[in-house]
Parts: sequence; structure tokens; C-alpha cells
Amino acid sequence: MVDMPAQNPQRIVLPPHRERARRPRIVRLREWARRNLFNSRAGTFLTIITAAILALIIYGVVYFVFVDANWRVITENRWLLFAGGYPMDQEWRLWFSVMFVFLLIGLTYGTWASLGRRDHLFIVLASGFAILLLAHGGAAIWSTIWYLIAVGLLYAGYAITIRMPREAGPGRTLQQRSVAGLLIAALPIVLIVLLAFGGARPRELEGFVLNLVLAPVGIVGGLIIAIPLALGRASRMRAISWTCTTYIEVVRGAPLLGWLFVALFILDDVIGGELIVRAMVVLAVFTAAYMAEYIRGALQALPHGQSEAAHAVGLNQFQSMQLIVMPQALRISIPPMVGQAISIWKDTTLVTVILPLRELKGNADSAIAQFEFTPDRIEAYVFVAVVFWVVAFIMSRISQRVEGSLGIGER
Amino acid sequence: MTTETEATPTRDLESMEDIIIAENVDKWFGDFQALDNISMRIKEHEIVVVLGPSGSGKSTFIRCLNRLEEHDAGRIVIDGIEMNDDVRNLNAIRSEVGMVFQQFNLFPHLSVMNNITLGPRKVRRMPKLDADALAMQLLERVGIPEQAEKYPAQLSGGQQQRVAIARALAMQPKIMLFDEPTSALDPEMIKEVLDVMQELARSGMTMIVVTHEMGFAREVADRLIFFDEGSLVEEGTPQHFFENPQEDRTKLFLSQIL
Amino acid sequence: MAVAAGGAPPPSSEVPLLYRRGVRRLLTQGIYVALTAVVIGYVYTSLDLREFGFGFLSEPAAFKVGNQWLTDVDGVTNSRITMYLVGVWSSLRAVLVAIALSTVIGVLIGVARLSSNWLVAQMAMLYVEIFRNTPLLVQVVLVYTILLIGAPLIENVVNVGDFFFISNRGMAMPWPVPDSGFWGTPDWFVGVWVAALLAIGFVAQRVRADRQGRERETGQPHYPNRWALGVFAVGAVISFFALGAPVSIDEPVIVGTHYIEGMVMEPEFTALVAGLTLYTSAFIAEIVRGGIQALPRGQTEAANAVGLSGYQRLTLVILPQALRQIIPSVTNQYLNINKNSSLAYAVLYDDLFRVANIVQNKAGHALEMFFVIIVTYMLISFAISVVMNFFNARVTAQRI
Repeated sequence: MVDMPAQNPQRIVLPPHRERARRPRIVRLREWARRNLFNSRAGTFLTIITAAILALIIYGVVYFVFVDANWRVITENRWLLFAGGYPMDQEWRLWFSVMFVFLLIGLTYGTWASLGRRDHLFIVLASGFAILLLAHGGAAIWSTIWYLIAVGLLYAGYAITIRMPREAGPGRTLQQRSVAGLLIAALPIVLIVLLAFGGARPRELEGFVLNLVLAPVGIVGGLIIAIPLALGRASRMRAISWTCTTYIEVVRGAPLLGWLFVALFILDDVIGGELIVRAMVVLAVFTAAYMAEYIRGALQALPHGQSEAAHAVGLNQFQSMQLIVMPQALRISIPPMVGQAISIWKDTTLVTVILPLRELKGNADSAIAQFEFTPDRIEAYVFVAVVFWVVAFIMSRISQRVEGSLGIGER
Repeated sequence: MTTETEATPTRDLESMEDIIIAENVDKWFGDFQALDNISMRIKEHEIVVVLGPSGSGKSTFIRCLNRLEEHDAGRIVIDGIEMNDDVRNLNAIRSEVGMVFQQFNLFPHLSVMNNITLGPRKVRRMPKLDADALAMQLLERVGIPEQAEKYPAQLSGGQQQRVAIARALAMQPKIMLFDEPTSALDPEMIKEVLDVMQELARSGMTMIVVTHEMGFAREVADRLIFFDEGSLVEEGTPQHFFENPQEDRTKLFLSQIL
Repeated sequence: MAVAAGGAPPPSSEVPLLYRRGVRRLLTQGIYVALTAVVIGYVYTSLDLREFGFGFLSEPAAFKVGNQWLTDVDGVTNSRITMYLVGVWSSLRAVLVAIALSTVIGVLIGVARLSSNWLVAQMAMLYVEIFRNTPLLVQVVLVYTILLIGAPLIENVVNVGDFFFISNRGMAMPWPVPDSGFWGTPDWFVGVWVAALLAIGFVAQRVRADRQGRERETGQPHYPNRWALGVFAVGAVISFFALGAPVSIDEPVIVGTHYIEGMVMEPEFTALVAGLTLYTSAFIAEIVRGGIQALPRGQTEAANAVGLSGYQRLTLVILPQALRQIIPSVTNQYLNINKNSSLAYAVLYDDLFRVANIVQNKAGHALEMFFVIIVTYMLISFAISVVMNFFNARVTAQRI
């Protein structure tokens, strides 16, 4: 027996390694459960208690969503919630913006990251949610079609960019530059589409659209102010660093709601204009103070040798900042910046408190007044919460993926 | 590679002109005097190795030579340009003097190619094609042309330091400063950097090198300078230094390091 | 250009003024200061400052402020500044309760995120993801709406044994109030008792230190914390009765559509505190998780190797080290709670921000009022920072 293999080596068939190692699925599942759920008596107890709480929560949510809640307040007022007083005959401008942004998301993902199974699942779920909302009443068919075209553009942009070579080279550089350029140009383009050439007046920006405009304006405007502010605070010139520090500390000293009241009562005399525009200014000015601190942190984290080396190759102070220090500092500060961006997105709701105009939250109120849905206000707020959560989730997800592919933190 | 006879300079330094003049240079960090009345002249094409224990002021001194530190008193004249408060002089000197750092200080967000061409393009306003050609030429000179499109983090320490040398050379400086260029390297990578520096020395570059590599000092240097506690203690040829040092501090230092 | 060997260096020439670095810096700053001055000047002239002053604050208020606790001002005879201070006190209450609750919940959730129990970890993650990514305003308003329309009307109040009530007017519960004790109703009771408690606290602290010392020397457990707590509790009870126990328990009563007496947690207060707590605890949980995860894995393994239990491992090894990273970030969250308490405005809780707004509606002076608000917030932030810096100094006292 022992030397048989030597005589007939070709007849030896070892059992495939994997089959031997793999136990039946049910055994593995049981093993997993034993390790992660029932690893001790206390662990089992904890699992049972948690499962009971979870069951209660699920029951409560299901009962609320399918039995208790009356979602007509949402479906019947979806235009108000979504666009408020935006002129209805200009609806195409909104859809154009949505399609443009979806296309950009696809291009961004295709260029710097890739869509995983969970991303696809999320897109399908979110789309289902959106279509459920759109597929009620009047112009539902067209809205659904526009939405599906937007999702199609997302995948089209993704499909084009993901097939391009990722290796460094002139083609890759061109691709990155064009997508980055589009991203930078996105906000002005959307603002022009929404407001210029017969579009809405700023005060007609309402509902969800207002939040979607306010947040990017705050983020981009904040970043534009924050960069010189951070440099100013780090400057060796006393007059400059002192005023920048004062600016940052004073702005961070008071709550955003306070600053919005400044926009309401005080800025009227100083810059005038519509309240929405003043609120945009305040949002940018407020955000800048926080962003400046993140950038300053990144500037301090950057090794001193970087600016020394920049000077050693002959770059002057400005060139060293522009070409060496800032690009790296901004990259280091991406994670806190994204946190700040999500924070602004949520904070745009505060504008609704000061707007005597109707707005997302205000719409919920006005819908109540209009349709006597008084006991159903909870549905309106739950809906608002879900919508904000979804957008915040998308933001954090995109940033995680892009961060991962930029290799942040692994210099 | 290089034998001792080849490396021993046979150039006629006597007839050369002084390219670096330092007179009575003082430098203070708060209450601490980092440089105390340093005077020295360095000729064109001369290779000077600066020795000294850590904290002796040797790094501070060469950092003063391209204004990464400002001296508090005395004069520094480089290639006839006075190092003073004049912003024009500062820029002129920076492009005459290249510097290589202990920690390489490559720009991690730029490819090797862009690291090298940044100075020529932005300061010398060189067209991109010319700058790229120059960079390739330099990368071949330091022996790593195949790494041009990589990023610094993808290179070994020795390769990074060679890129750093190429980056400094790209500004076509008259003088090269080396601030402990091999101290942050693993032993097996030191030689590849020293070889590049030796080749540079033979090509006639004026070099000031802070290093603890005694072999390099002995073979390549025209002159050795010993710093201690902010003062220039002793200077002389390698022969003088290794065979017949005069000062007690020099002897002590050499006995510890050799 | 180079100088002949050994030759004299070129004579140093005078640098033209415009090319001197110092002069350039001065010029830059001068231009900067001038520009800033222009902007400030423009703002200054565009504001109407003829009536600038804070005199209006001492005029009679003529408005009411709700949500009072331990204060009783009707706004008729009181000045505006008094009413504002009542609002400040309301803010402080909400902020302090929210800080305490969000810390406890945040630490629990943060630790649960890292639990070896899969279900617990997932639940904690769900909590964080939900409350961190929805706007605080929506949370506060949603809780408020639920309390107002979800809770029973006061006519159908939930009555627990005639001393605890829940309705859409809030929760009412018994509360101690001053009363005649063994020796009458002394006005000095609170002051003297607080002083006595401080003294007892000091004694308890000494006992704890002593027990800790003995534990260190002998190696036998001397239960320093339990002893200190016991000493303090016994001392507090004894001193309370020794001072005549001039306190009685006040039970809430419903009269018409209002609670009277007792302690009432109004829906406005509950909604604000609940919103602040849910929102901030999600952030604190992430900070705690990050702080723990940043520790090298070896710490957990070493603690296991020494034979510590799970609880001992957490309290003796992991948290003390993680606190170094946690405290600064948590301090930031406390400062956020302070500023976010201004959302009281949305649920009509009369905090400092709302009272200030009422004053401004009545009297104008928007600029002055905003100045007062920002200074108040900064003072509260400063106080929080001082306390947290004290903790931080204690945690980082020992270098590692």
C-alpha cells in the first residue's frame, strides 16, 4: 500500500483542499452564531435582550409606516416639499440639474473609485424610494421617466470613466483634470440653470431645492474664504494673524442660528439684497471659520521640510504655498472637511427657522394648514429626516470611497 | 568603482576664486548661540566636508548659506551676492545654491518627474518639454531613469535621495549643500547615494557636505572643517585631519567616530 | 562674480528701501490694515448707531418668560436684563442635563460599537448612523411633535399612583421643597448644608486616598471608592437631619389643564434635551470608539494576559489611555451642545436666545442684543473649557 503511489503516481488524487476545509454552511453559520452571539452566558443574555428591543423597534417602525402613518401628507404635497414656490413651468431646470449632478456622481466614481455591490443596492433602494414618491398622481409618469434618465446618466458616466486606464499618464491626467474641472464648475452651472435666463428668483428657491442649493454654496464659499483665513492665522505678520484669529474665534463663539439672525436683522442694512442671499453669505462666512481651523491643523501636521525644500528649489513664498503646501494640506484635511460638509447640509435646515418664507420644514407646516392634516405632522418630519439622512449618507459614502482611492493617511 | 587615486583631487584650487565668503557670522536661537563668529571662505569647485557632533551648529551653518536660517550678525556673500534683507538677492541666491536634506523632503503629491521639473518650470520659466528632457538626463545621471513616473512613496530611501539630488541639480546650481544626506538611509542604500555624490564631485561642482561618512570625507574632500558648540574649531586637508589633528576636541570626536 | 581668492568681499551696499523684506512686510500689513479699516468703516457707517447703548436692558420687561425653575419672575416689575438672566438659567439647565446624558449614552454606545456581540455592535452602529446623519433641528422638532400629539391630553393624563403624571403638558413628579423642619424654616439651610456637604466631601476624599494608600501597601482590597461613597452618603444624611430636615416632598396636582406644584418637565425642555442628547451622543460614541480603536491591539492582549476581566480591562487599561484622545474631542462636543441649545427657539423653550429675541422684538437694538448673546455663549463655552481642561490636565498628567 505504501509504495503504491510510487508505482502509479498519476492515479493519486488528493481530495481538493477546499472541500476538506469547508464544512456545511449550516455548521459554519452555527459556529459564527456561537462565537458572535452566544459566546457566554452573559453574551447570550445580552443577545436575547437586544433582540427583544430590536423586535420592538421593528414592530414600532413597521406599525408606524404601514398602519399608523398617513403618507398622503407627503405624496400630495411632494412638489411643495421638493421645490416649494419654484415656478412649476420651469420644472425642466430642476430636472436638468438633477441629471447633471447624477452624471457628475457617475463620472467621479468611475474616475476615482468603483461601485461595489452595496453601492448598487443603495442606488436601487434609493431609486425605489424616489419612484414611490414620484409615482403618485398628476405628472407622475414624466417625473419617473426624468428620474430614470438621471440614474441612467449616472451609470453612463460611470461606465465611460471606469473603462479608461487608471495608470498614471497624460490620458489619466486629462481625465482627472476634466472631471475635477466639471466638479468645480458644477455649482455655478447649476445656479445659472436654476436662476438665470428666466429661471426663478432667489426667493422662489424653496423646499428641498433650497437646502440643496444652500449647502454647496456654503461649502464652496466657505472653502474659498477658509484658505486665505487659515494662511492668515498661520502668518508671521501680527496684524494679519491677529485679525484672522479674532474672526475665527468670534464666528465659532456664537451658534449658526445667531448668525442667521444677524443676516435677518443686521445685515439688511449692510449688504441688503434678498434674505436668502444674505443667508448664503452668512453660511459661507460661518463655515469658513470651521474649515480654516481644519486647514490650519493640516498645515501644522505637514512636515516643515516640505516648505524648506520648496524654498530650496527656488520657489517663492506664494509658489511654495500654492504648489507644495496647500495641495498637501487640503488633502490631509479632506476627512474633517467632509464631516463639516455634512454638518452644513444638516444646518441648512436652520435657515428655515429664519425664513419668513415657506421652506422644507415650513412647507410641512403650510401643508398642515392647507389640508388639515394636523395629527400627521409627524409623518412630515419623519420624511424630512429620512431625506436628509439619505443625502448625508451619500455624501459620506462618496467621500469614503474617494478618500480610499486617493490614499489619504498613507503618505 | 572609484579608487583613491582617481578621487584625489588634482585640480588647481589655488587659482580658483572664492565663491562663498562668511565673515564673523553669529546665529542665535533665543538665548542659545548656535553659531559663534564663524569666518570661512570656500573656493569654486572645492569640496568641503563639515564634521561635528550633533548640535554643534554645522547644519545651522549650511542652512544659513541658502537662507533657510537667517544669520543675526556678520556677512555672507555667495558668488558676489550679499545675503541681506534684499528680496531680489534672496531669490538670486536660492537659485544658485541647491540643497539636499537628511529627510529627502520630496514632494509626496508629485511624481518623480514633476518633483524635478517644478523648480525649472516655475522659477526658471523653462518650457515643459525642455524641463522633462533635463529631468530625464538628470535621472539617468543618478541612475534611476525608469522611476520617472512613480511617486516618492513608491521608491526606496536611497532612490528618494537620488531623486532629491536630481531635483537640486535641475536648477543648475553653482553650489550644492548636503545636510547629512545618508543619515536617514539603511546601510545598504548609503553607497548608491555616495556614488552619485562622488560623481558630482568629480564633475567640478562646488559642494559642502555635512556627513558622518568618514570614508567619503577622506576620499573626496579637499578640506575638512570641524565644528563644536557653534564655533569653527579646526580645518585642514583630510590628511591633516586623520593623521595629525591639532585640537583636543577634534581628537576626541575622531576617536569616538572612527 | 566670484571674488579672487582671499580678496576682500565686495563692500556691502545699502539696500534700496523698496526691496527690503522688512519694509515689504510692513507695506503688506499696512495695505491689509487699510483694507480691513475700509470694510469695518463701511459696516460702521451702514449701521444705524445713533442709539447704540445698553440702557434699554434695565427698563421694565413687560413680557413673560416660561419654563422657569427655581425662579419666579412675572416680567412686570423685572427689568429686561433679569428676564434675560432667567433665560440664561434655562439654557444652562438644558445644556448641563444634555451634557450629562449624552456623555453616559455616548460612552455606552461607543463601547457597544466594539462589542464582541455582533447584534449589540450592529444596533450601536444603527444608532450612530441614524442620529448623526439627521439634522438636529428635525430631531428636536420631531420629539416635540411626538410629545405634543403622541402624549395623551391632560384630560386623559397617565396617572401613576397620584404622584407621577404624563400628558402633553409634560411629565410631573414629586420634588423636595423648603418646609419647616425641627427648628422652623431656616433661610440659612441651603447654604449651611452645602458647606457641610463640601466638608464631608473633603473627608470622603481623604478616606479614599488613605484606603488607596493602604491597598497599595498591603495588596489587599480596601475598596476606596465604596468607602468614600459610603462616608459621603452617611455624612449627607446625618447632616441633613442634624440641620432639622426643613424639606418636604411636594406632590404634583392637576388643576384644570395645568400641573401645579411638584416638578414639571415641560415638553419643550424634554424635546430640546432629548434632541441634543440623541444627536451629540452619536458623535461622542464615535469619538469613544475612535479613541479605543486607536490604541495598539497589544493593550487588550496584555490586559487579557494579566488576567483582567472584561470590565477591569475596560476601566483600568483601555479607557484611561483612550481618554487622552477622547477628552479634547468630547470638549468640542460639549461646546457644540452649548451653541446648539439655541435650537430651543424652534420648540419655544425660553432659553437665552429666545428671550433675547423677545427683548429685541420689543426694544429693537438688534446689534446690542447680538453682542450680549455672543458674549454669553462665549462665557459658557469658556466655563466648559476650563472644567474640561482641568480633567484633561489630570488625565495627561502622567506621560506615556
